[in-house]
Amino acid sequence: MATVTLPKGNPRTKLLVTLVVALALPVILFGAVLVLATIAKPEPVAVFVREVLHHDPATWPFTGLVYGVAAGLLTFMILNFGAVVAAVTIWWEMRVSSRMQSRIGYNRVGAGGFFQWIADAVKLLLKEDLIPADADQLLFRAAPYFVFAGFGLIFVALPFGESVIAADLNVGIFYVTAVTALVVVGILLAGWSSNSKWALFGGMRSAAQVISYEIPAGLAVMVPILMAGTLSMQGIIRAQGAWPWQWFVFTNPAALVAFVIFFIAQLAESNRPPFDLPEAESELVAGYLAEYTAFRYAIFFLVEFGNVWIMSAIAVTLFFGGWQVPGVAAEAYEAARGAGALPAPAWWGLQVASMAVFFVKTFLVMNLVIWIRWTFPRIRVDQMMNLCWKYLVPGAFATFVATLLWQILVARVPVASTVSGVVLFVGALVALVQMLRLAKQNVEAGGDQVDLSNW
Amino acid sequence: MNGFPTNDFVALLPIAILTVGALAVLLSEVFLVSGRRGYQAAITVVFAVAAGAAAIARPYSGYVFNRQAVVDDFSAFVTVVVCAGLALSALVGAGWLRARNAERGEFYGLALFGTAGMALLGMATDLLVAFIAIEVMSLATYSLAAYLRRGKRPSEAAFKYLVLGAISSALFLYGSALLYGASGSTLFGELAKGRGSPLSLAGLSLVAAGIAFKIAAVPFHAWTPDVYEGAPTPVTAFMAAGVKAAAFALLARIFLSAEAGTAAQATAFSGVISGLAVLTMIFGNLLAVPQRSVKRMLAYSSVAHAGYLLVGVLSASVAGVREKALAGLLFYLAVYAATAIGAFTVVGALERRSRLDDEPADAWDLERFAGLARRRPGLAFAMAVFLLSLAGIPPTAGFIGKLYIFQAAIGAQLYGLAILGVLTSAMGIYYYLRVVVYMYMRPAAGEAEPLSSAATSVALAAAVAVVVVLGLVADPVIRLAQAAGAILL
Amino acid sequence: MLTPLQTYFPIGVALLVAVGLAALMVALANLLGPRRPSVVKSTPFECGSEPAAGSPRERFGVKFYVVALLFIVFDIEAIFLYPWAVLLLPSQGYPGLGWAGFVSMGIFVATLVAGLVYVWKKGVLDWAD
Repeated sequence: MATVTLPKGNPRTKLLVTLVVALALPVILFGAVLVLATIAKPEPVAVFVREVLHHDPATWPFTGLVYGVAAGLLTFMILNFGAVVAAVTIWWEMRVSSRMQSRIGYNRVGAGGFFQWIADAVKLLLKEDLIPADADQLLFRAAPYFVFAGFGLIFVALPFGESVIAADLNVGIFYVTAVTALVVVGILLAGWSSNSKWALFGGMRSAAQVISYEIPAGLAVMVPILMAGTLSMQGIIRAQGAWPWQWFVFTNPAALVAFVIFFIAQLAESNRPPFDLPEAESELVAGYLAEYTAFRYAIFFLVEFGNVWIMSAIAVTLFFGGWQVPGVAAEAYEAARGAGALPAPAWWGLQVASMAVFFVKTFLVMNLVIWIRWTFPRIRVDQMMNLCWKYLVPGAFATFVATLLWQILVARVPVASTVSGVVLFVGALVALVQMLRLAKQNVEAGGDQVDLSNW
Repeated sequence: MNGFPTNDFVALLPIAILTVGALAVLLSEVFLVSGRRGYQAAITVVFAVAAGAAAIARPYSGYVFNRQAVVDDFSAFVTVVVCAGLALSALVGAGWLRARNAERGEFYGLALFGTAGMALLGMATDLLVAFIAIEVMSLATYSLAAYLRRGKRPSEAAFKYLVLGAISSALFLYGSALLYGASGSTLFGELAKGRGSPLSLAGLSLVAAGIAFKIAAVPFHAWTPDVYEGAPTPVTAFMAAGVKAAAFALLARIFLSAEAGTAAQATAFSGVISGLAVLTMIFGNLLAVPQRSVKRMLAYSSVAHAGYLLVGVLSASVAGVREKALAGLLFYLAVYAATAIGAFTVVGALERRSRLDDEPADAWDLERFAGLARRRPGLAFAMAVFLLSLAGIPPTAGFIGKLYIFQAAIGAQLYGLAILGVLTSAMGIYYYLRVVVYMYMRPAAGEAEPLSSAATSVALAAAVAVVVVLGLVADPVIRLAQAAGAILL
Repeated sequence: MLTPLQTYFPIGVALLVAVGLAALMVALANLLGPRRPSVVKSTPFECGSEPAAGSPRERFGVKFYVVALLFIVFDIEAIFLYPWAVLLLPSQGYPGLGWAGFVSMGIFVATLVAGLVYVWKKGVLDWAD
């Protein structure tokens, strides 16, 4: 490949196509998820069966089937949404990281390289699917399914909007913690079955890391649970307010600490840098992925990046008020719905607004994850274990106890949570402004060293 | 806010004391700067005595935790027995382990945890509480059996104990599930509800089998000789004393609950228990006869004693003799605890002291007792007292215990069992007295100097005192035990 | 209100869809991709050199097992905490567990923290040595 092939076609057409797809794809996916989430409930299904199919929903034997089809469509769309989100996350991360390293990054397929993820997927589809001769055939094949199932099952319980959730379980966050474990099982299976030293080391490291960090994460999650008094994802969001000073992360000083612990633990659980020891390219080749090729490899890759989105969404749910739209009270949604069989337009508007809020918040947290990836070097195994067991676990215990005491205080002096919310929020704002000011100073002082020309 | 359930917490006082003691010893071990661990046995004894005192003082009596546990004289008696067993074992262990440079806080910590489980087992009136207590007790004893993990025998013993113990737990749980199906409750008080149904009988039998593992009743005794022989000797003493007492307390409660209000010995379940008793008495004694290893012989003797105790449990189901039978049972358990600990202490003192990972097969051979009376008359006398008590020869306490149990059996018209008990006891005299003969009538064979330490001597003296004094003046303790016979189910 | 079965129904569907999607993709890749197996391709990857002798599935550092044990202890504890945390504080006519719940869990957590201190000081958490 001596000559570099330049992208063909008119740059303006390319930009247009990219923009159309980049806007239409989320709109279509979001719209489909929103519409399906609204109708894939027993009552709308009953209405549909009565009005459209002219059967009595109570006695017609196929009502359940119709509901099943609707729910199946919804979860299918949510999973597609998840897969696309994961893929777009890869693109976004590559773009951001190349900017952070003053290099160009994706720029070939589509404007800004936006279609790179599609190209990657197609490429991986066309690769040879290899299974090492000495691998445990069954487990080697089964591992990607575990990983993908764990990934897909979490999406079902993520609250995208006020009433956009496939399954609002009363054990929501517990369920999320539980199915996340499927990913570990998959990784361990992958490492074990490959019959490769690198893979096994990666798998074992990953298992040790993930289960260790499961504990501070689980204890830190207890803080929002204690504050909300429920495990339901929607319940936890509804227990918070829409304005930033009403978020759990600010209304309780211990929750701020808990968020930091939770965030670090989640980074480690999704094997993100600086906790990417299981894959550590420079020492373990690709860890548990070493023997995987073609689309099986793509599944692991996809899930890993999708997990970034998931962990951000869970953090937003637990600590940052979820989809709550500032200025819209909880009753407003019910009021806007109207009495008709189908909700009124104002309700759809509110739903879209809540989804937008959730998405924007998640996006911001996700950027934080990417930022951390390119800021911190990978830590050593012993540092990783030390951080977990000697700092995060005792810290999580402490926040847990502090929250108990705080809740008792709030029960006596309700104003405490407001005070804390305002003070901590203002403090966070001040810290943010200060940080930006310092960054600006550094950029100016750096002169030519900082190349911002291709931003 | 709900009312604060003070009684529930007060009832757990002895267990709380033991747990705090365990945590204290464990934490002191890791924060230890000097190598001196003499205080650990002292802490253990102090906490054991405190727990026993709390059980005697008993600020609250009655049902606690929604009838899932009970504090009564019976549970207090069991708690005192296991705490005394713990204190003696800790003293014995201190000397034995120090001589092998293996004294660590974990030994005492595990023993304290295990005793907490035993105390809870004495209080349990619910199958699930009983299961938790069994597990707390067993996990501690499994680990204790493996305490000297560098050696081959302890590892083997612990592994056998763990695997068979896991099976027994599974049997117990499965039986509990069946009983829940039969009676709709896991409370002992409701066990009688499902009586007569095959489900209930199967459940009770499985539960009894699970407990039979713990008390080492034939045919569930197979682990006993290997584990008793392989485990470190103080641990063997602790298991023989504590586990047996606690498991018998549980068996008595379950049996009496299941048989409440029936005509004597009419039910299939008492048939199962009497079968166990017969097999245990016959085979326990028969298998003890050919043993040349004294430690192994004592293990089989522990099996045999489980048989006599089962007779006591059986007799207790007859209304008229219940107090007498239970008093006999408790008295026997207390005496057996002291005797077994004492006997194993002497065995441990004579044990060949070599490297930890080198345990010769003849470590506890009869020959090692030869001429002991000349070398160490005190030790020989103590051993003779324990063996006579185990054999049930007056004026030792073991005789009084057997007497009460067999009287109760006759009172309950269990003539066959009583006769069998007496006959097999006579068989026991042979192998117990053989050791005495070796000690007093054979010339010394080896030059090995028996271990001696102050703590061990104290423990031995205490055990001898218990056996002799209770043999001469049994009445006060018998009265206490009889009071404890007013058992709550 | 949804019945519990209806609430959980999407999860079952999601499981099927997720596995189905993954299977579909893998099948597609098998269909579209080339298939030219060779001995070299099917040996384990060890940085381009011949695989070192011996199976990788050999004895492993005991640390991994210790971590697994610790995980079970502390994760079980977290599982106990979840329902307790939901029920502890009074809400909507439900009185809450009150001080009894507080003290019970306090004892439980304190015991576990003592356990953590023990394993910490015992050096179990030091991965490096």
